[in-house]
Amino acid sequence: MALRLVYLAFTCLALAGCGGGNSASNAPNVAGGDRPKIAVVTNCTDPFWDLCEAGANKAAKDHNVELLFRQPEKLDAAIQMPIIEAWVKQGVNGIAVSVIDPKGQEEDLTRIAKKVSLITMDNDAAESTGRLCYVGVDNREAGRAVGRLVKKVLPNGGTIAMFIGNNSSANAIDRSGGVLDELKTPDADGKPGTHPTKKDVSGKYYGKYFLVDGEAKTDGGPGEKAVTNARDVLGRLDGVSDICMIGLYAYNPPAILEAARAKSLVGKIKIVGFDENLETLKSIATGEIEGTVVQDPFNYGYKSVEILAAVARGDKSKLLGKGQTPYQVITKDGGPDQTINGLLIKFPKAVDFEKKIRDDLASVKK
Amino acid sequence: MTRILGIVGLVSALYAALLLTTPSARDVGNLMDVANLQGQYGIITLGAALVIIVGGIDLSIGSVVGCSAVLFGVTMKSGVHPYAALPLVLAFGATVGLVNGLLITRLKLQAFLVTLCGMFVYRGLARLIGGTVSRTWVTDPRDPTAHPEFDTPIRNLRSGLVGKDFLGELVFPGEFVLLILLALVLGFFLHRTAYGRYWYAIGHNELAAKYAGVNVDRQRVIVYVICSTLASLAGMLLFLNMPSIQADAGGSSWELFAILGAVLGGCSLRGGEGTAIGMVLGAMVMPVVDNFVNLNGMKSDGIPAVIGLTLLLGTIIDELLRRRNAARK
Amino acid sequence: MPPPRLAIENARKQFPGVLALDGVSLTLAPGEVLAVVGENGAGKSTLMKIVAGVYRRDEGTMTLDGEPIEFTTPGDAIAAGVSLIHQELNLAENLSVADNLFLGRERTYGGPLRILDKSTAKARAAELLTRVGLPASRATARVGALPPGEKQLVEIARALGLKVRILIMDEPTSSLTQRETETLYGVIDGLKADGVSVLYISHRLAEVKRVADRVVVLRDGRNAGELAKHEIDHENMVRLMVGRDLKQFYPKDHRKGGGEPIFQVRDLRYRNGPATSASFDVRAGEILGMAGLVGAGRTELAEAVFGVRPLASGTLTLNGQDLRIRRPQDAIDAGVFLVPEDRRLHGLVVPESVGFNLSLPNLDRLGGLFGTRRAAEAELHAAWIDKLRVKTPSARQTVGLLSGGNQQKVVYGKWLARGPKLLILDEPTRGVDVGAKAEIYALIDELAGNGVAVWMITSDMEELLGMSDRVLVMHEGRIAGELAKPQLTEEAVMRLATGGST
Repeated sequence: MALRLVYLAFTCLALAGCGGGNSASNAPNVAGGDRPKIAVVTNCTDPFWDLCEAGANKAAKDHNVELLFRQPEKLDAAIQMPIIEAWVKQGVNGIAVSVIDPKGQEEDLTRIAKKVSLITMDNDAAESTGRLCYVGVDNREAGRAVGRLVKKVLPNGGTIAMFIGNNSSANAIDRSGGVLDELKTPDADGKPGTHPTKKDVSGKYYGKYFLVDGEAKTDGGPGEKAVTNARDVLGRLDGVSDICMIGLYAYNPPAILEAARAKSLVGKIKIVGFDENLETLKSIATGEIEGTVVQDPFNYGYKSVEILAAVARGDKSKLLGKGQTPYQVITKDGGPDQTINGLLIKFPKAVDFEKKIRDDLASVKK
Repeated sequence: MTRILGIVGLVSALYAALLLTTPSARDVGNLMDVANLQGQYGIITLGAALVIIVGGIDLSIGSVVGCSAVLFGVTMKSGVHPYAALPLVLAFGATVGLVNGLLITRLKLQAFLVTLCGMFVYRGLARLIGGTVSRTWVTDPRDPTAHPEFDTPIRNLRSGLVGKDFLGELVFPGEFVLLILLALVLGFFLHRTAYGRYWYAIGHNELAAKYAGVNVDRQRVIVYVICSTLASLAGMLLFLNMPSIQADAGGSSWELFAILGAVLGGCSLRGGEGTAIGMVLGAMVMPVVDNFVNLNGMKSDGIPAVIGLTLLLGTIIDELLRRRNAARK
Repeated sequence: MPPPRLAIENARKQFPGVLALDGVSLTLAPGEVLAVVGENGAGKSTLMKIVAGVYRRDEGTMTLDGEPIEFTTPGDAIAAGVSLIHQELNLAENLSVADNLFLGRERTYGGPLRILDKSTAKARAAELLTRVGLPASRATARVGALPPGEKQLVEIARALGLKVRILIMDEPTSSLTQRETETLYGVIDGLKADGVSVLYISHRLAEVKRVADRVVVLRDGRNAGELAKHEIDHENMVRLMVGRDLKQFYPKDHRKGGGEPIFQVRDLRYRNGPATSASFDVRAGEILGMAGLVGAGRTELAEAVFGVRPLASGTLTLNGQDLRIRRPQDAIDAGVFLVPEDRRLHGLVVPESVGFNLSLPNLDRLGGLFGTRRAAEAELHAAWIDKLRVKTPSARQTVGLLSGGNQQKVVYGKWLARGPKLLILDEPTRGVDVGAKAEIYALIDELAGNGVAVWMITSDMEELLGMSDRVLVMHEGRIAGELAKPQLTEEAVMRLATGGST
């Protein structure tokens, strides 16, 4: 029996030895020269967050920070929260969180903000939580940029359909709302009605644009459903011209493209996207997708770590004000920078931007 | 008895490894967090283990956890007082178990199939009745459809069952205490009463129990009811403990943690074996590994593999040593 | 005159494809031991299961002490005082002996909590175990750890603990040693004296003669006749059972005996086995019998030769050639086949068809370019079903639905189709009825006559004495002695088996 325990203990210790790369130090506050310990927790595991992780790693190197970065297995506050709790108890100097449910997590985040420096990124929590600042684009503004792309590709109006993971989370509501805000100006709110040529398809009119089913189609996350949703809509719109399909979560534009390929409609319909999925960028370069609005997650990661490192060293000057993180608009040919609503917006070429992303990813090994 | 010694060794070794290599794990608050997580998984492990003892399986546990959490929130949001919602949701869990049990015993369907379908059905039900639920969603004073007056009772439930103070700081590992209490009750039934004898006999040799005049079907149904009721209790604890619950994610794949805990704790999937103390110990394994991984800031992509390999290694060593012991006898 | 303890009128029971009972009637007096005999498939087990509430009859009436009865579960029957000791062992092996003795009727306190009263149970268990000749200390042992004979005794003890009016014993002695069987006879006498009626099913006709007050014979689901106490003898029973006289029950038409050794075992030891090694020969044209008490190591020795247990040392020679056996596949390739003791566990894939089981070891020969050759397979099935006279509607019948004797024939068939050189038979006719037994004996005789080495392990003394040309007796893992006629007698075998000397 004793032998058996020794065996078990031995293997577990051996395993611990392999896994425990960075040993923990219990130092809640750092003096100027020390390495602060900064933690970043995303909302789920996704290629989008790999870019963020690359940015965070770069900032950690640049600013001499010990970094803990974690992509939880599932988009679930119940999985995210225990990770945050464990890290706060362990004693980090600052933590950046992509909030999943702003309302539900409010109380716990308020408590945590009292113990360590807390910033939110990608998705914000209420200011009353005491978070120091929010790193992330204004989703409504970014949605309007998508709307402007739609107007550009369908200047005379037409049929549009929107695709997204859900219609309940804050970023989804703002993003799709922004698109419609842009389309309906200067006309009134969406008017219910049926399609001008396909009477069996109902939806809403936003100015010159008819939105199929009157709201964004949801698919619950990456997967087969995103493709079938797009395919079904294309099937129902068989023979209609001037269609623009809008994919608002990162995986939606490639899913729409796949459905269009299956129906041999590539080039005949317009596709506008969101986020910098590499597939999306490649397809913009070849002209299969018109354009996408990107958030630059690499910058999220970099900024979050930079800000928290500065705060840990007593420097609060780097904190961002509201809406200070710009989005970018990617098209095949790009364009000159513009100032929109007080933010300097860049319009890079798809090929250039894709190269930047690949460099970002390569700059720090995973 | 040898089966218990194996898991005692595994748990002690894991704790030793955690505490020796990770100084920050020694924090009392952290250890309480771990204990609470053990309680959370332990409660469903008890149910899963009981079903396994009678030679069945329940794959719907995770979905019942998620569905109960959402149902708890939705019920309170609709105006039912938290203290009344709690027994209501427990009754829902019991009904799920009754349906599972009756389908398995009366229609003679395979438990695997029935509960696999249940896994989809109750996950779907959770998504139908609500999206994301949270305490704030139920009690938010800014929301006219919410019930701010429920804030205090909900926090009271949380203090009593989870062990968190008014601000959400964990002051004692309530879920672990609850697990111990439930394990004592279950252990009493399992080891000291005629019911336990029936469960073991059914799991090992259903015909033997039947020919001895045991109402095998009824005992089976009872066990499934217990299992699902415990799952719905775990769902409500999840609601109380966590900032918010997503209908499509809450409790998902927990049935596997529960089955893993049961098997590590000495329940044979062939049925007829297992002890209450073993179940508790089996459920303690995962959270310790989890905590180790969290505190050491491992790369996200490697974590599932590390957890899986640790558990596999533990199982292999345990089995090899047990075989050696058996050979020596 | 009091009503009979049990009266069955015109009982019928139909199973899918089989009419198991076609109007059977019988009566049983209080304190009477009634033997129910018949070939397997005659309907004995079905009848017993109807009495014990396992099955429900389709037609007919049943009264218990004059009261009409209608059992829907075994629990109902037990409550009414009808208890069945089942042929296939029905114990929860993960529980202790005491737990099993009281399973389903535990002494408890605490009302609905049903807390076990362990001290009462212990005392009561000791009493019951003593009655069947087991030490009281067995009460705490795990049933799984007991030898088969003791398990059977535990089942009997369990029935004794019930308030029984009718006790049904289905092949109770099939795994008992001689001494344990004697104890059982004593128990039955005690029950009779207490007014308990016993329904006794056995294939061992000598046993029936010893215990029964009366015999009812069933054939093809109908009453075939009845024998009063003084009429009970081997001839009469066999005649009624098979409907004809059996000229030669233990045939010796083909064997000439006493040939050269064709299978030799020298200094054989297997891993985790006894320290002493075993050496023996099987000669051409003879059947080598092997006797011993349950647990003497006969099955283990056979399994070692067959490659199930790893060998530690020793050599095996078959027809002059060295045998190297590391796993059963090696043995099968060399033509060494084992007909195992537990055919449902090791001999057959019970839920599959007769054909599936016949094909299983022969698939390598039936395989063509595109899977199994159907025609060849069908030919093989037809040939062996015909040759062994397997009673089955077709090769597609599920083997588990056949009677024990026919199942056993399928086990023989699957090996004979491969052409055996050495056939190891472990309890070759256990649970097999008289008619099928005679056929199997004829088959074994023919095989031995044709030069196959036959090594037969058996606990059935009649079979051992009737079929063997030579007998090895094992005791505690070693070969205690060899007997041949005229020294080959029951007494001599028992003396060696229990540790005495020749």
